Amino acid sequence: MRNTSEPGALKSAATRRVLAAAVTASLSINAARAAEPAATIVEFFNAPANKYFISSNPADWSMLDGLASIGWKRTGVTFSAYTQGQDARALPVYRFFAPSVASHFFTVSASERDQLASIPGLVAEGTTWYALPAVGGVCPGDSVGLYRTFNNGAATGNGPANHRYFEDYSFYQSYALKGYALEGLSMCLPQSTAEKRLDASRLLKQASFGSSPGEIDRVATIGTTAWLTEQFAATASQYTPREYVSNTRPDTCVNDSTLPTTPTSYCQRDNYSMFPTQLEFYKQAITGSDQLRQRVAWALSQFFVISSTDVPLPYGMGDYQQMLRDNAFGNFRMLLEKVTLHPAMGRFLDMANNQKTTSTGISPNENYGREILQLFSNGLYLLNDDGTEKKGPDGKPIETYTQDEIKGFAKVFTGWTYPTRAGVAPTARLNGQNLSGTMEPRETFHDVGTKDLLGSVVAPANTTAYADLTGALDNVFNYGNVPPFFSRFMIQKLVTGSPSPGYVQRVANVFKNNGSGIRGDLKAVVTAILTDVEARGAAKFEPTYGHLNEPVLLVTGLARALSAKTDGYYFYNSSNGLGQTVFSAPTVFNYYAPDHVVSSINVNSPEFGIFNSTTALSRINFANSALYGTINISNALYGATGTQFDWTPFTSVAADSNALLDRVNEIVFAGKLSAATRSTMKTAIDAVASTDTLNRARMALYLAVAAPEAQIVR
Amino acid sequence: MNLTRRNTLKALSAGALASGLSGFTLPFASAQAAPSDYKALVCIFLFGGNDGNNMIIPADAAGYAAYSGVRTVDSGINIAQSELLTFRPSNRSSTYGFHPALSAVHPLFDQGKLAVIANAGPLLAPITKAQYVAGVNRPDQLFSHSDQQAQWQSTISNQAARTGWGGRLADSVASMNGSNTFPVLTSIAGSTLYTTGISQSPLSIPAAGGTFSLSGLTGTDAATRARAAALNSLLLQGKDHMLVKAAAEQTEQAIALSGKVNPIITATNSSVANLFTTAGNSLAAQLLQVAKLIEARATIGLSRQIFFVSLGGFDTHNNQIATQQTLLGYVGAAMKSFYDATAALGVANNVTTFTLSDFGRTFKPAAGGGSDHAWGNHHMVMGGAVKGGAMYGTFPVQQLGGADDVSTEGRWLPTTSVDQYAATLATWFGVPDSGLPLVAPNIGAFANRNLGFV
Repeated sequence: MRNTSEPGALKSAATRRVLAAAVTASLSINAARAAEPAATIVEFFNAPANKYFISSNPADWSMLDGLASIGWKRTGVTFSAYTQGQDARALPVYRFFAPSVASHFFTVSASERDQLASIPGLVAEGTTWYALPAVGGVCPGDSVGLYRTFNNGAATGNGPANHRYFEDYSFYQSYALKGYALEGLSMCLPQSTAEKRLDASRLLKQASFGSSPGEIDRVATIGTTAWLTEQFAATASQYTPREYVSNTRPDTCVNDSTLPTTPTSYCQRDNYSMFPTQLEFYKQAITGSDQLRQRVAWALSQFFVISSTDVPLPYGMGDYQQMLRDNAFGNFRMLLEKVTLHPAMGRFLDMANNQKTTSTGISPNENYGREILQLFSNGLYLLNDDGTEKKGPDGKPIETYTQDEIKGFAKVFTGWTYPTRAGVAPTARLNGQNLSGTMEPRETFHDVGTKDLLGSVVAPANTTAYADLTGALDNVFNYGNVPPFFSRFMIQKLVTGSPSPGYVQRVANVFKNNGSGIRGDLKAVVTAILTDVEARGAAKFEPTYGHLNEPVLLVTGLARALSAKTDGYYFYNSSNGLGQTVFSAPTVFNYYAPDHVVSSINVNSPEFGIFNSTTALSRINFANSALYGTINISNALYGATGTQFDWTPFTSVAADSNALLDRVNEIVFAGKLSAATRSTMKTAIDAVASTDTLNRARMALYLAVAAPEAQIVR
Repeated sequence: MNLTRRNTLKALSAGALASGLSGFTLPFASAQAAPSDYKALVCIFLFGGNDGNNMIIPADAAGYAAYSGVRTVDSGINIAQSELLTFRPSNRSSTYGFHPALSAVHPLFDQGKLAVIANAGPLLAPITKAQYVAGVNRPDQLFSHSDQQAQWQSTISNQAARTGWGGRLADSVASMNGSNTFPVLTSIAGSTLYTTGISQSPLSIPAAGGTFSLSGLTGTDAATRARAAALNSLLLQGKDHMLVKAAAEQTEQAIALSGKVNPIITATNSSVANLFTTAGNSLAAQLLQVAKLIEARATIGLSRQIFFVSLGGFDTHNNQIATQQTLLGYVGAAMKSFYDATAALGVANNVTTFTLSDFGRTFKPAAGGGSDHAWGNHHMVMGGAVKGGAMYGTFPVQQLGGADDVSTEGRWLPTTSVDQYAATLATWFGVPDSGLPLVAPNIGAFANRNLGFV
């Protein structure tokens, strides 16, 4: 095992195939890219000895593969590296062996090599792969860090002294809990084209409504940063603006199923149910080009929740959801004000027509005052910037506010009424329900006393409704909990359900200051979440990383994997029963709680709050009907165009079940298809004739959607 | 990380000891013999915080005057005295009235099949108003929906709970079901804390009209057989990732039980289906499923079962009169249908149904014709075994800022705890006194462990 420099390192057959496809897809677009790393580093683990070992030498691999009987096994973790001469910046990595503990050590630093060489008992074993040195502690932009941990067995009782190396930063950090010392950045490694494509697929699962063959090509070609820039600039999709309708449906407004369907056939459905808004949601989520904006707005809709339970009229729901889209990349403070003054929220949480204490002894309504603090900004307990709870002298978490402050905010949010409808003369009275536009102040109904706000601040008496409101929103926005509370929520929605404190802290810091002194810059926050080392780069192996694909994303994910063209009807219709009806959360507490813990594994994973034996089956049944069923064009929808899938990316390779699985692994699993699941799927695919490419593709996608491994986005 | 259920159990046990809860014992040490009888508990959760102040109203002159003096006609949340469905608890000298929408279950009170629990809520220990004001023994995050729901569902009100008292009750009685691995708990209202046990995990089934099976896998052609076989194998793979493992185990449970459950819930020959009016009434649609499962109790083969159903929309900050009228109408009709179903199946004395809700609501009206979040609340317990026709617990003094109000808006200080409520039902279910601390870890703080209503 001395000479481990191997310019012609072999890659596994599977990697080669992905690579070949990827190179073909992207080579013509970007010929000037860095050299494709030619070495693969494979990690092994010996459980009886509790020892990790990495090597880029195929001879080592064969030897250890042959030593399974004494416990050596591949962990599934691999890294890419350069070989000699591939990259002018790359330096050789030196390998040392410590016979006393039978353990290896790697360094890219020549000075460290020289120091180690002088230590008796360490055996220099020559050079291995080539890596990039960090510059000022930071890896060059086209590389990822390899982090080193040390298991000082003698000190921790964890077995023999041994190092483990990680590209997955979350996984690396989690080893502190096992008693390993985190020794920091060891060297920087290039990523192969295949790895970049898998990261592109992961990005698309985090930042869009699912990865599609075309969009993976796009991200892999232009890179994450350029893709984000493109997405930030994309024009927002629009919910069709709808006319005001009265709260009570006129008897003449009914559904008429007489064919042919006209634009007004379904008056009731189109004006008094969520149907048109939900239809547009699915259509635009699946086919819209402003994917990031829509995805962030969908996350925001689960933070600033309103629901069809109390806002059943699509003209109001659509107006509110469009407002979230339009402000998704703006400032949190502005968004908070738009949410507060939107009449659909006013209706949902009773701020519309809320008034000061009346002569007959009716109190200001506390609903909005309470939930803006608990759910829309600061949360129940004081937080550190890393999202962990502060503790009082008694060791217990500290409540963020008291009932007195709830009453204070209840008074702040008095004196606002529904927007005056177009063509109606404004009055000084409170208006009847109108769910689109911006609420209007009515000073005579506003409480002009002082009000207790957060942090022992007292709002002054005798101010206008708007001055009171902006003062209170500033108070809420500038209170310390907002950066970690909101940042952690958004990380959970986009990337992982139990983010590390470090990840929350990094994003919260950006919330506090976008680099230009601005607090609450949502574009900067979203960028920080999606470009963080715990989101991007290397494959993720930490065993609690990621989140359950919530039902809406399950539906859109399959549609986008098949590059669907759709009028939305099929997905609106078939998503019923999955436990997440769009814009119809049971209450302001959303479909599930951000602090939901899966009791069987004791892990915080919010989406499991709606994963149970009923929905477990309906998710698989959705795949069955979407992939094997017949999708008809609805005759109840005027201008219906139906739903069409593009099967070609799958059927074109389906004659070769391995090639089909490579494609499914990239698009559906973002590379996390295990060998065992792959083998199971291959047997099933091979049971279909190789000429029946459609049914092979169906089989592959059905099992991919049904597989437990694909339920978790990571 | 890597907490197995057994480890979780250890952790919970250690935590209970660390936080000074006395009498915490594990039921597994004293496995109970399989009983010869069948018993079921049915929890109806009224999400949002049902306004008990308008569900049970003092109906005698002085009591009603105090009520209408605060909940005035002008407030928009007054119920007229003439509309009250009056009842006289056998153990009280005063007359009360049910909300008029509860006409379906009103007769059950006089028949002795329905009891009222007055002013119950989460407590750490019996508490006086002076203690509350001084910040002593206050449950965490009073008046918050999510927290108070969790406290009602778990009985634990001074820390985040990971299990519910229904789940822990299921853990306690699991041995009474012998070797039968069918879950003790069934929810027809999705996943909840209430049904989460230490070792027991609930079955979740859809309400009436839904199916509980995988589609598309019954074909006998090679491809379909290969697909079904592969699906079964997939459930065992990738479990080194903990979230994958959790998803896999849930899916595995669902598929394993679907063969037994689906024929029961989709059967068209149920003898009790015609007792329910499920159109528009989702609670009735859920309770019909419960009735069908009880009808099939011989097939399922359990001696003890716990069911969870729910109805939402009770957060009546506005428009309370109309909303509660509708919702309590559903509740009354569904409960009556369910009682009749148990009677028809000959198990009325074996099934006890009870309500839970987030919290009571402020006695003082709030702008918009509604009321805000409060604390103590009234509840109903129904069944042949219930010592009905009576009121249990102390009815609050309905005076703003008075002896029972911890604020100035009529937030009643509970005089009966969730722990006592749970322990009473658990005792009926067959849990010995020594096992009550597992179900209600804080029961030791209360002298009376059995409220006597069942």
